[in-house]
Amino acid sequence: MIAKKEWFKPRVFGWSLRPVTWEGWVYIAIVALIALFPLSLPFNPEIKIALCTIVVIVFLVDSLIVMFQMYRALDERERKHQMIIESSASFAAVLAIVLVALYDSIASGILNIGIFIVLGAMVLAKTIATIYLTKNE
Amino acid sequence: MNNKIKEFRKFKNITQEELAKRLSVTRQTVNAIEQGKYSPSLELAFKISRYFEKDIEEMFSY
Repeated sequence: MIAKKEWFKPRVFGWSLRPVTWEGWVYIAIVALIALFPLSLPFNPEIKIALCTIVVIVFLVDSLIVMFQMYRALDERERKHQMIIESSASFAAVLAIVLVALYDSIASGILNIGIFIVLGAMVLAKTIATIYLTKNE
Repeated sequence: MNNKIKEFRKFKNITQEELAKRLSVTRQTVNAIEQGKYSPSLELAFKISRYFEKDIEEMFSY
Protein backbone atom coordinates (compact mmCIF):
# COMPACT_ATOMS: atom_id res chain seq x y z
CA MET A 1 0.00 0.00 0.00
CA ILE A 2 1.30 3.45 -0.93
CA ALA A 3 -1.31 5.99 0.19
CA LYS A 4 -2.28 6.67 3.81
CA LYS A 5 -5.84 7.13 4.99
CA GLU A 6 -4.91 10.32 6.86
CA TRP A 7 -4.28 11.99 3.50
CA PHE A 8 -7.90 11.63 2.36
CA LYS A 9 -11.54 11.99 3.37
CA PRO A 10 -14.47 10.16 1.76
CA ARG A 11 -16.46 12.26 -0.69
CA VAL A 12 -19.99 13.27 0.24
CA PHE A 13 -20.99 13.04 -3.43
CA GLY A 14 -19.86 9.69 -4.79
CA TRP A 15 -17.58 7.02 -3.43
CA SER A 16 -14.09 8.17 -4.22
CA LEU A 17 -11.52 9.85 -2.00
CA ARG A 18 -10.88 13.57 -1.54
CA PRO A 19 -7.34 14.71 -0.70
CA VAL A 20 -7.26 16.77 2.49
CA THR A 21 -3.50 17.09 3.01
CA TRP A 22 -0.68 18.13 0.71
CA GLU A 23 0.55 14.51 0.73
CA GLY A 24 -2.80 13.46 -0.74
CA TRP A 25 -2.52 16.03 -3.53
CA VAL A 26 1.09 15.02 -4.24
CA TYR A 27 -0.01 11.38 -4.37
CA ILE A 28 -2.76 12.21 -6.92
CA ALA A 29 -0.32 14.29 -9.00
CA ILE A 30 2.31 11.53 -9.01
CA VAL A 31 -0.26 8.88 -9.97
CA ALA A 32 -1.50 11.09 -12.82
CA LEU A 33 2.07 11.65 -14.05
CA ILE A 34 2.95 7.95 -13.83
CA ALA A 35 -0.31 7.01 -15.59
CA LEU A 36 0.34 9.46 -18.43
CA PHE A 37 4.09 8.77 -18.70
CA PRO A 38 3.74 5.61 -20.86
CA LEU A 39 1.97 7.73 -23.51
CA SER A 40 5.23 9.58 -24.15
CA LEU A 41 7.23 6.36 -24.65
CA PRO A 42 8.12 5.16 -28.18
CA PHE A 43 5.92 2.05 -27.98
CA ASN A 44 2.96 1.05 -30.08
CA PRO A 45 -0.48 2.24 -28.82
CA GLU A 46 -1.49 -1.18 -27.42
CA ILE A 47 1.54 -1.32 -25.12
CA LYS A 48 1.03 2.31 -24.04
CA ILE A 49 -2.62 1.64 -23.14
CA ALA A 50 -1.66 -1.58 -21.33
CA LEU A 51 0.95 0.29 -19.25
CA CYS A 52 -1.54 3.07 -18.41
CA THR A 53 -4.12 0.45 -17.46
CA ILE A 54 -1.66 -1.28 -15.10
CA VAL A 55 -0.94 2.04 -13.33
CA VAL A 56 -4.66 2.81 -13.04
CA ILE A 57 -5.39 -0.68 -11.64
CA VAL A 58 -2.59 -0.31 -9.05
CA PHE A 59 -4.01 3.12 -8.12
CA LEU A 60 -7.56 1.72 -7.85
CA VAL A 61 -6.43 -1.17 -5.64
CA ASP A 62 -4.49 1.26 -3.45
CA SER A 63 -7.56 3.53 -3.21
CA LEU A 64 -9.78 0.58 -2.30
CA ILE A 65 -7.37 -0.41 0.49
CA VAL A 66 -7.46 3.18 1.84
CA MET A 67 -11.28 3.24 1.65
CA PHE A 68 -11.45 -0.12 3.46
CA GLN A 69 -9.13 1.22 6.18
CA MET A 70 -11.32 4.32 6.50
CA TYR A 71 -14.40 2.14 6.89
CA ARG A 72 -12.70 0.08 9.60
CA ALA A 73 -11.73 3.25 11.47
CA LEU A 74 -15.34 4.47 11.69
CA ASP A 75 -16.99 4.42 15.11
CA GLU A 76 -20.41 2.82 15.75
CA ARG A 77 -22.42 5.96 14.97
CA GLU A 78 -20.56 6.60 11.73
CA ARG A 79 -20.96 2.93 10.72
CA LYS A 80 -24.69 3.16 11.31
CA HIS A 81 -24.79 6.27 9.13
CA GLN A 82 -22.69 4.55 6.48
CA MET A 83 -25.05 1.55 6.40
CA ILE A 84 -28.09 3.78 5.95
CA ILE A 85 -26.32 5.80 3.25
CA GLU A 86 -25.14 2.71 1.35
CA SER A 87 -28.49 0.92 1.58
CA SER A 88 -30.30 4.06 0.35
CA ALA A 89 -27.88 4.31 -2.57
CA SER A 90 -28.30 0.59 -3.37
CA PHE A 91 -32.08 0.88 -3.25
CA ALA A 92 -32.02 3.89 -5.59
CA ALA A 93 -29.62 2.10 -7.96
CA VAL A 94 -31.80 -1.01 -8.15
CA LEU A 95 -34.93 1.07 -8.65
CA ALA A 96 -33.25 2.99 -11.50
CA ILE A 97 -32.01 -0.24 -13.16
CA VAL A 98 -35.47 -1.81 -12.96
CA LEU A 99 -37.16 1.33 -14.35
CA VAL A 100 -34.67 1.59 -17.23
CA ALA A 101 -35.08 -2.12 -18.01
CA LEU A 102 -38.89 -1.74 -17.92
CA TYR A 103 -38.77 1.28 -20.21
CA ASP A 104 -36.41 -0.60 -22.53
CA SER A 105 -38.80 -3.58 -22.60
CA ILE A 106 -41.83 -1.40 -23.37
CA ALA A 107 -39.98 0.64 -26.03
CA SER A 108 -38.50 -2.38 -27.82
CA GLY A 109 -41.41 -4.76 -27.28
CA ILE A 110 -38.95 -7.42 -26.06
CA LEU A 111 -38.86 -8.38 -22.38
CA ASN A 112 -35.55 -7.32 -20.85
CA ILE A 113 -34.37 -10.16 -18.60
CA GLY A 114 -32.09 -7.69 -16.84
CA ILE A 115 -34.96 -6.89 -14.43
CA PHE A 116 -35.15 -10.51 -13.32
CA ILE A 117 -31.36 -10.79 -12.95
CA VAL A 118 -31.32 -7.65 -10.76
CA LEU A 119 -34.29 -8.74 -8.66
CA GLY A 120 -32.90 -12.29 -8.41
CA ALA A 121 -29.51 -10.97 -7.22
CA MET A 122 -31.31 -8.79 -4.65
CA VAL A 123 -33.39 -11.69 -3.33
CA LEU A 124 -30.29 -13.92 -3.16
CA ALA A 125 -28.19 -11.30 -1.33
CA LYS A 126 -31.04 -10.56 1.09
CA THR A 127 -31.63 -14.26 1.80
CA ILE A 128 -27.93 -14.98 2.41
CA ALA A 129 -27.59 -11.92 4.67
CA THR A 130 -30.76 -12.80 6.62
CA ILE A 131 -29.70 -16.43 7.16
CA TYR A 132 -26.18 -15.40 8.16
CA LEU A 133 -27.36 -12.74 10.62
CA THR A 134 -30.10 -14.95 12.12
CA LYS A 135 -27.62 -17.76 12.71
CA ASN A 136 -24.85 -15.60 14.10
CA GLU A 137 -26.75 -13.08 16.19
CA MET B 1 -32.55 8.27 26.58
CA ASN B 2 -31.00 10.95 28.79
CA ASN B 3 -27.47 11.05 30.12
CA LYS B 4 -25.19 13.04 32.37
CA ILE B 5 -22.06 12.83 30.25
CA LYS B 6 -21.75 16.58 29.76
CA GLU B 7 -22.14 17.17 33.48
CA PHE B 8 -19.51 14.58 34.45
CA ARG B 9 -17.23 15.68 31.64
CA LYS B 10 -17.33 19.28 32.83
CA PHE B 11 -16.70 18.10 36.38
CA LYS B 12 -13.66 16.17 35.18
CA ASN B 13 -12.63 19.21 33.16
CA ILE B 14 -12.03 17.42 29.88
CA THR B 15 -13.06 18.38 26.36
CA GLN B 16 -15.27 16.38 24.00
CA GLU B 17 -12.16 15.77 21.89
CA GLU B 18 -10.26 14.25 24.83
CA LEU B 19 -13.21 12.09 25.84
CA ALA B 20 -13.65 10.96 22.24
CA LYS B 21 -10.00 9.92 22.11
CA ARG B 22 -10.38 7.91 25.33
CA LEU B 23 -13.46 6.15 23.97
CA SER B 24 -12.05 5.61 20.46
CA VAL B 25 -14.91 7.50 18.83
CA THR B 26 -15.13 10.84 17.05
CA ARG B 27 -15.84 14.15 18.77
CA GLN B 28 -19.05 14.36 16.75
CA THR B 29 -20.22 11.07 18.29
CA VAL B 30 -19.55 12.33 21.83
CA ASN B 31 -21.46 15.51 20.98
CA ALA B 32 -24.39 13.53 19.51
CA ILE B 33 -24.58 11.35 22.64
CA GLU B 34 -24.40 14.36 24.97
CA GLN B 35 -27.21 16.07 23.08
CA GLY B 36 -29.34 12.92 23.15
CA LYS B 37 -29.35 12.66 19.36
CA TYR B 38 -27.61 9.29 19.36
CA SER B 39 -28.06 6.39 21.78
CA PRO B 40 -24.77 4.56 22.25
CA SER B 41 -24.45 0.78 22.08
CA LEU B 42 -24.34 -1.09 25.37
CA GLU B 43 -20.60 -1.58 24.90
CA LEU B 44 -19.97 2.14 24.44
CA ALA B 45 -22.32 3.00 27.31
CA PHE B 46 -20.28 0.74 29.62
CA LYS B 47 -17.04 2.26 28.33
CA ILE B 48 -18.37 5.75 29.14
CA SER B 49 -19.56 4.73 32.60
CA ARG B 50 -16.27 3.03 33.39
CA TYR B 51 -14.30 6.03 32.22
CA PHE B 52 -16.20 8.27 34.63
CA GLU B 53 -16.16 5.53 37.32
CA LYS B 54 -19.93 5.63 37.63
CA ASP B 55 -22.69 3.03 37.45
CA ILE B 56 -24.38 2.83 34.08
CA GLU B 57 -27.74 3.69 35.73
CA GLU B 58 -26.17 6.81 37.17
CA MET B 59 -24.88 7.86 33.79
CA PHE B 60 -27.88 6.97 31.62
CA SER B 61 -31.60 7.09 32.28
CA TYR B 62 -34.63 6.10 30.22
